[in-house]
Amino acid sequence: MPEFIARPAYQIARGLEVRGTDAWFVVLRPAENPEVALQDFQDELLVYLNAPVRIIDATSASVADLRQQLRTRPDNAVVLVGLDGWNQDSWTSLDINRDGMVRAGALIFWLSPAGVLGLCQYAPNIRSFVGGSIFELGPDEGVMSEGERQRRLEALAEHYQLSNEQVIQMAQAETLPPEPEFVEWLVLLGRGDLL
Amino acid sequence: MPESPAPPKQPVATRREKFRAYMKNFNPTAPARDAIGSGLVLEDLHNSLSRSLAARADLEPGSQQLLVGGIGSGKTTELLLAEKWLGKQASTLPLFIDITAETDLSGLNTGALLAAFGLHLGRRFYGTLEAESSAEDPSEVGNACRRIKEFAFGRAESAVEKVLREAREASAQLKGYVPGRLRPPIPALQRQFQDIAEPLGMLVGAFREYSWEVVVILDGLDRLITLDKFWAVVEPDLRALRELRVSVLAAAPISILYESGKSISEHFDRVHHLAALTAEPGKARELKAVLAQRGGAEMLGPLEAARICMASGGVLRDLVTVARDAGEEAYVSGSDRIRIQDVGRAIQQLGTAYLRGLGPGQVQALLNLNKTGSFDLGSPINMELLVTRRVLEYSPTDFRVHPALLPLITKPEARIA
Repeated sequence: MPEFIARPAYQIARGLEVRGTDAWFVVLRPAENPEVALQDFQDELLVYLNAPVRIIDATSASVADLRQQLRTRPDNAVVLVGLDGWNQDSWTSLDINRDGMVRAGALIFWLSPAGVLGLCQYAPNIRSFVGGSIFELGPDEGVMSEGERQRRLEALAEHYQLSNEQVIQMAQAETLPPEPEFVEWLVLLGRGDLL
Repeated sequence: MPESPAPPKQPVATRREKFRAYMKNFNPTAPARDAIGSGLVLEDLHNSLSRSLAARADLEPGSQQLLVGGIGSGKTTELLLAEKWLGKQASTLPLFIDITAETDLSGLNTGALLAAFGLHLGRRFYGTLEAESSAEDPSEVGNACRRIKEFAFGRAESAVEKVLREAREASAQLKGYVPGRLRPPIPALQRQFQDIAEPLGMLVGAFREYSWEVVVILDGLDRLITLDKFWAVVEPDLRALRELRVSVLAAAPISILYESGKSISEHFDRVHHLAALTAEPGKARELKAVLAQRGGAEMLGPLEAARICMASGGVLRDLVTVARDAGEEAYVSGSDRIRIQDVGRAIQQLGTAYLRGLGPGQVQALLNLNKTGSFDLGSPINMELLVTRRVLEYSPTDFRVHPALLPLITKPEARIA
């Protein structure tokens, strides 16, 4: 069966960042250590979005509760967890109330394969909003090979006409533009301490 | 302190800003009202449909029209355009209400449409015709507004009221009820509707005294994709609105057009169908115009644009989604422009989302449709495929598998639940 594209957290975050407002995503979470993965994902979003990222647990929430929580601070990005055990009726109710979840801040459904199945089977209105933005959470730069890292650094240097040293100097002088690529650049250089 | 180099020049900001501007224009989840306000919408995409809807509502007070279409077909946009047109007419007050954004309809919440209508009407009365607020207004209109708020949000019951209500309920239970031989074709409105009908009538009358006719535009009812839920929610409320001679435009699910839905559609003065647009290569003029209106030419070549149009199947939201996702692919991969492989990945993702959740029976039904072209909507599986957009309708007799999904089901390895 065709699978969804795997993206590391930083790429999902970059996608969110460039979209601006009203972004809906589904992230297919890893089966192992989902709590750690969620924390890392939230950290990554915080870096790229430079704005609060809330986690809302829907495990025992009613649809009305969820609407209320999503409408509170609607500019914040929200990661919605705890939907994996939802049955058909719950998904259908959420689907009917899709417009009550509309907000300026990003909305990310953090789901297991069963959760994605539930959404795709029982929530066609939500799926229509999500479109093809369903990504499997892939490995991050920690497992990027040295060759891949070098190629990415070269691409950044060529694109921005800057050297690695210049980027570090600009970060130290706090003159680095707030572009997400520069965050990535510093992380690839092992200088996340300058962020 | 090391000398800091000058900040990077044009290319940095230009690329990001270029992509951000593109993504903003191709945002399928941005409020439709914003898209219209930003000039991103082609107002005459569906042969003046919005004007046709609006004109009838304006000329025929009390008329009730449905706008029917699949998910993502652009119903909200057409209703907003109708609102815009009506707003320009003298003495017509259009009230646009996205009902599912205001209340939870999943529990078959009858009376919710009337409550929302009354609240909007009251706000508009004090916002446009009268300066004071309903809370302070001792007139009949002020009293009507308070009764509508009580109907909508409830109120504290006094001890005497509680005793009287309980006595009434106990009496009703003791008496029982023997049904007559003839069932009325239209059941009488329940007591709760009588409670709200009077203050609503008062408010509508107040507008008429100022020579204003009210048209209510109800969006969001199409989320009730199963017919029984849709009809249970709308029937009593729309009947009350008809008695008030308030024109209604409402979104409805596509299942209204077929099989048992036809008996529901007969209750309306007119049912407008928003079909999927032509997406075939060389004929997708409207879809290409949508891309152009949103500034797609900045980032998309003709080949990429044509591929997006074809894969959308003529579903407007899917068109915008694939264009947006292809832009995101290009941005994340470091390209300055959207390439055909970016479009391909975006289409593959959309198709995979449509594929997920399909069982072997559903996949077989899709393969049959693709092979024979025939599609029996008496089958519950087929109806579900239609309302969930795996199958698209181009006319009452022309159904096709969504083109983003089709290549995935024709691969043998895809035929697994």
